[in-house]
Amino acid sequence: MTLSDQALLAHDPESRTLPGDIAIWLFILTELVVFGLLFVGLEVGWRSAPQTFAQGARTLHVAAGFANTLVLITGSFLVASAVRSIRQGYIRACVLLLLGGMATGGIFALIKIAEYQTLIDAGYRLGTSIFYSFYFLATAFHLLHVLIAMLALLIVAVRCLFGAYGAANPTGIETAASFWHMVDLVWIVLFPLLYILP
Amino acid sequence: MAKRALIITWLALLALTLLMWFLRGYRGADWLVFVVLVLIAIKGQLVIDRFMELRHAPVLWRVALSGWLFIVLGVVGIVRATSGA
Repeated sequence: MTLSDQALLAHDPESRTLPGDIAIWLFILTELVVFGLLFVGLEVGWRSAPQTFAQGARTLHVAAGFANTLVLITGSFLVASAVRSIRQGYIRACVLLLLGGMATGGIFALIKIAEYQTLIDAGYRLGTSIFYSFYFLATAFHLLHVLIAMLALLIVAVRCLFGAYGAANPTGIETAASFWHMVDLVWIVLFPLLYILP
Repeated sequence: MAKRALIITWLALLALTLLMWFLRGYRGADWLVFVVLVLIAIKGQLVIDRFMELRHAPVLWRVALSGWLFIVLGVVGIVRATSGA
């Protein structure tokens, strides 16, 4: 085990701490419940109109959805690495990794917007069918969370650059990171529900 | 989390995603729903345990988020299993 990993373990395991501010975790729980209800609604919607859902899902760009999944997972890796960096006191590495995470969010957004554009050009709208209502609503709501997460990463990255965080107080970075991971977690569930299962 | 553990988690998530990519052609197969739900569960739990680090957090939080994951997937599974479609 490297010296830096030893430093990491000294911060953590026996103490059983939640990474980041407790407030963000209450918010994370809240948002997960909201998304959870959305997912249940989606499935109930599917049950009431399985053909509509199946047809609708086939018009979606599965490759784009998969690409977006890989993108967010990579974002989580970078963000988790940023947390690791700040715990070791590496300010600049942390900033770069946070910005990298932000960039993956940007890529996600661009792919998603391109998807929307293609679907809209093909004539599919929010009200085209119950499937598209769920699709546009759920993914837009999720996209909003991606943008918020990006903003959170940007804010802590800038603050980090100006010395707000360090090995002794990584909490702010952990807070933003935790929110980002929630956004990744939600997409991991949402993507197959919309693109593959129907 | 240790550097190597982070990389392994990342690669595992990518691999599980790729697995799902290869399964996408089996839409309509009875077993696909179950396999996809299991894959989602594994990926979700990896994010919860490793990226969110809830493995090393107070147990209640890990239970809360894992509980969310399994309740959501459970409901999906039940809806799908009882639909007769």
